Amino acid sequence: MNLVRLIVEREYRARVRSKGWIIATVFGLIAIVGLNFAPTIADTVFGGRQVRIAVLDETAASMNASSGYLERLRADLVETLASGDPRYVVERASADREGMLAQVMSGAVDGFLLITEAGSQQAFKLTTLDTLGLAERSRLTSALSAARTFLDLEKRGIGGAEALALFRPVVLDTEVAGKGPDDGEIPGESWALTYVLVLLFYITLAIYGTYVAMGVIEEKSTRVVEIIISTVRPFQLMIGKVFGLGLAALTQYAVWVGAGFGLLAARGALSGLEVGAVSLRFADIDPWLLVAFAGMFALGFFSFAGLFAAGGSLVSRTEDAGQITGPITMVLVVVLFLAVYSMDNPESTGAVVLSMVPMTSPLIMFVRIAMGDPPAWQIVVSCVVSLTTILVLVWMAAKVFRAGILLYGRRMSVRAVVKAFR
Amino acid sequence: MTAGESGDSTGLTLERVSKSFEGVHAVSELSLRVPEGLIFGFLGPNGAGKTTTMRVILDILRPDTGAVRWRGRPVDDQTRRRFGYLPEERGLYPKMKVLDQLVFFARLYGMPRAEAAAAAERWLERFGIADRRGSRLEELSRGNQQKVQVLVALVHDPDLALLDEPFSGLDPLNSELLEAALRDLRDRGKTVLYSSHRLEQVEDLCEEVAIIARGQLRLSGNLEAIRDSAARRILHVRTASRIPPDITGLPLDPEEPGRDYARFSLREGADPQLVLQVLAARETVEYFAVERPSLQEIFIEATADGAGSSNGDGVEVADGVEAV
Repeated sequence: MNLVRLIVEREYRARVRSKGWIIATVFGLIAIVGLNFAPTIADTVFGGRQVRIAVLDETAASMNASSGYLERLRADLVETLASGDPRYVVERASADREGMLAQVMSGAVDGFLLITEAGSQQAFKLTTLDTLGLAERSRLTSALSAARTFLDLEKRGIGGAEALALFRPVVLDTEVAGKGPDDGEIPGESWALTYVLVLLFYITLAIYGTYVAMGVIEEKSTRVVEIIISTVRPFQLMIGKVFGLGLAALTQYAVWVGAGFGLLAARGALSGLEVGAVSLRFADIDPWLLVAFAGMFALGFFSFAGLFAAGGSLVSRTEDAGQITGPITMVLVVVLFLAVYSMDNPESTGAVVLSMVPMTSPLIMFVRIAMGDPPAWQIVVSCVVSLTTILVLVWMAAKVFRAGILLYGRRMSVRAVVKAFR
Repeated sequence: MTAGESGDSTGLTLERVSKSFEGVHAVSELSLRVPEGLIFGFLGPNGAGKTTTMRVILDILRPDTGAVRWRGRPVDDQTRRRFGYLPEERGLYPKMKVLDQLVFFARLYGMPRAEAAAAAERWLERFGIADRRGSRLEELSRGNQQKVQVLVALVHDPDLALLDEPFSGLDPLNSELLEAALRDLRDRGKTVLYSSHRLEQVEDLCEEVAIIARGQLRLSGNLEAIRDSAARRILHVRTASRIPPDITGLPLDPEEPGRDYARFSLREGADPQLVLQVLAARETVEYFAVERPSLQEIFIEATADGAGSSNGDGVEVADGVEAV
């Protein structure tokens, strides 16, 4: 075990001192800082424009005079910019069609909305100088839809507060039979968190899996293997490599998470985050979820690291690494997709089975823990399956590695691989 | 001096070791004994099986048949950690610093950290590369990388150092340093087994040698005994004028003919005194010497195929050789 510790130590140091690791860590930090300020930056750079829309409502004559599209749009489009100014300015057209088109061309207004009526059908036409953004387009569409519904109702004699009452949202109380109210895990929040963690898992493995494969190949390509193997068993070497690199990954996360919380603390926002419509309050995160994530993350990490190590054992030149990491990364992508599918229905037969199948087990079990409430025995089975998978993969990696030691620059034939297990 | 007896409780013993690769015999039925406390020259032409033998000793390759013993017991993980190894295929971690590298390997061989660091510093000092201790290996010249590689094999003060051509790539000055280091090891009771093609140096450095060819042992034993027991004698002759080209009737085979100097090999059983008398009767003999064959000559003879004639008293000949 002492030898394994030595290998772990060397791998860890070699990794965290390497240029690649340092650069990746720094870029990660930049990304975190960037994300922290991203909402503000994005708003200023991309969304900061105020949109002035002139409305020419030719249907107004046939309407009840108390309100029209102009008033409804004004009541609806109340968003503000980061500066506090209104996002949309809706005004009555000050000229006829030709005059308004000229104003659009000259930039006096950003858009000219023409509402016409043929029979009982209204037609809406917006003329702008620049292409309208997707967000603005859909926002205006929904505002117009709501306005038309409201005006239609008013036409039929349902107006004011009575009409507004029709728009109030439904509150769905959910309850799991025998377990009481289900309000503890509001899907919106834990869905987002789970999604982020699943993605984190994928990214980590895509990066560190390649490191593991390269590390194994390095032993052969640098030919240090003859000395190493005359003192250490291949199994010890493999375990040492995988754990050393695992620790390097953890260190990188510690740096990033530390920086992330540091920034939040600096903004005085330690209690929670609001990203778009989803708000995340740290106090609401179930600590059990984080424990489950840590455990399942470790199992998943080492499962895939074992697979990458076994792959790396097959080749002996760094140039051939891609042939190995490519297919394994594909497997990883498939697992990622399966995990994301499972998030929608964590208790489906597919998810339950996959949560106990080698390779997919850790991540999908994590999804089930996060989104549902799997029975304890299934969690235990999942852990046992994963641990066995890890041991078998590392053992296989060691076997293949042992057989391929002296094949400098050559790839192992299928026959040689089969022979390695005899 | 008997080789291959498993009863020996000291030194390294190979017992009828065979290893073949896809039908090609790299080593066949090789038995060898390397006594402790000396420097052992492991010789043979390229492709004779020296590297394979060393890999078998270190269990990097598993022998097809046969066994390797150290101090009478099969070599296992623990005993291997008392060995040092300089592989033919040189290679260390290119991005690791020189000192870190030595300390890492010393610890891998079981040295405590502080001791390993002290030993590494000492060896770097001794080989004149202490100022490069903080450099990455890849930043060093090839010669210095070679030195570091040698130090990795020696830093943990091994009981048995297996060095595959340790002198190749070293300049004369560094060769001297390494020779001195190997002698030091031997003087402290350690054993060194190394392969080399510099036979004059082997003559100088080794007490015992083994010569293998085509995976088979051709001869092994004490170097002096081997040279003594070689039946052949070499005559060196210089005369005042031209050496008569037709010294017919004399039991000589010309080795290196010349005008006034020549080297002959004396036929088996011939009396050098008789040769001297005949020569002296015809020429003024200025120099006349009878010498044992050099290791170089023994090597060439032993590795030439079909040759096995140098087996005399006190020299062990491998089982396979007589059959050739």
